[in-house]
Amino acid sequence: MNLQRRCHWFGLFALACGAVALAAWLRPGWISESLAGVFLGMAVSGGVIWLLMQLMPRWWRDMVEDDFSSPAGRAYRREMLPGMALYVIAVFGSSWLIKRGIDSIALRACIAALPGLGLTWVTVAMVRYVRRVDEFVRRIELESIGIAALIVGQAYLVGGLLQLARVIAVPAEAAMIWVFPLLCLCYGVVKFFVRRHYR
Amino acid sequence: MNNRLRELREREGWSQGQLAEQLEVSRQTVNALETGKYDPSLPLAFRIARLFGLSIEDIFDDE
Repeated sequence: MNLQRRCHWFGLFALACGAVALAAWLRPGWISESLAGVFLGMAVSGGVIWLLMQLMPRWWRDMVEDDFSSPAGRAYRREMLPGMALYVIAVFGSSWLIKRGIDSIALRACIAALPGLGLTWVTVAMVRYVRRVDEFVRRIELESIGIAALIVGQAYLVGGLLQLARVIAVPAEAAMIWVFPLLCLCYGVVKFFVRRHYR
Repeated sequence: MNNRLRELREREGWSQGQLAEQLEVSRQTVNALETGKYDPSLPLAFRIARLFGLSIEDIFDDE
């Protein structure tokens, strides 16, 4: 199944998640609020990905298709998906356990850090992907992640200075949790421009 | 760096995908090489030269 076809299936899945979230909003109590939030999140993120896939230029879509169908891309997905699944299960599992109340700080720390195991798995898959791809694709990947790391690092430095000057007041936990997702998002945007540069 | 990769590929009647497969690289790598946006490493330049039965200097030109 090619990427475009998978993308349409993904869009349908997002639509179904949106329907569940809408049903939960229309009939409160049908499912728990947090589960409805999960469905809403999947619907919104899935919808955004589907929309981006439809709007992306032809050259970019061809390159994504190349990556997607390459042996390195297939191996990456095979290795990354269990890690992502572990991460999602650990996030829900650990937050559920912590909400029930755990007195021991050491045990609470271990449970709170559990999702990190999934992320470590994903990171290993990413490193293996970068080592598997050919030299040109590796250059694109490393340039993209390097530039993204610089942008996010600088943004956090400026953010920290603004916080010190009491211009903004971002809770520390939110700021820390958003480092990795921001890096991934920034990497995706930067990769578009890096690839366009080498087109 | 200029190169004759596109000319040599077309002479053989290969698509970018077919050349990429023989060189064990991605199609976008062949495209970047042909447009001169990317200069290959020495091992890749040797693989290209061997594939076409030429020397590296016959394919790549740094002037």
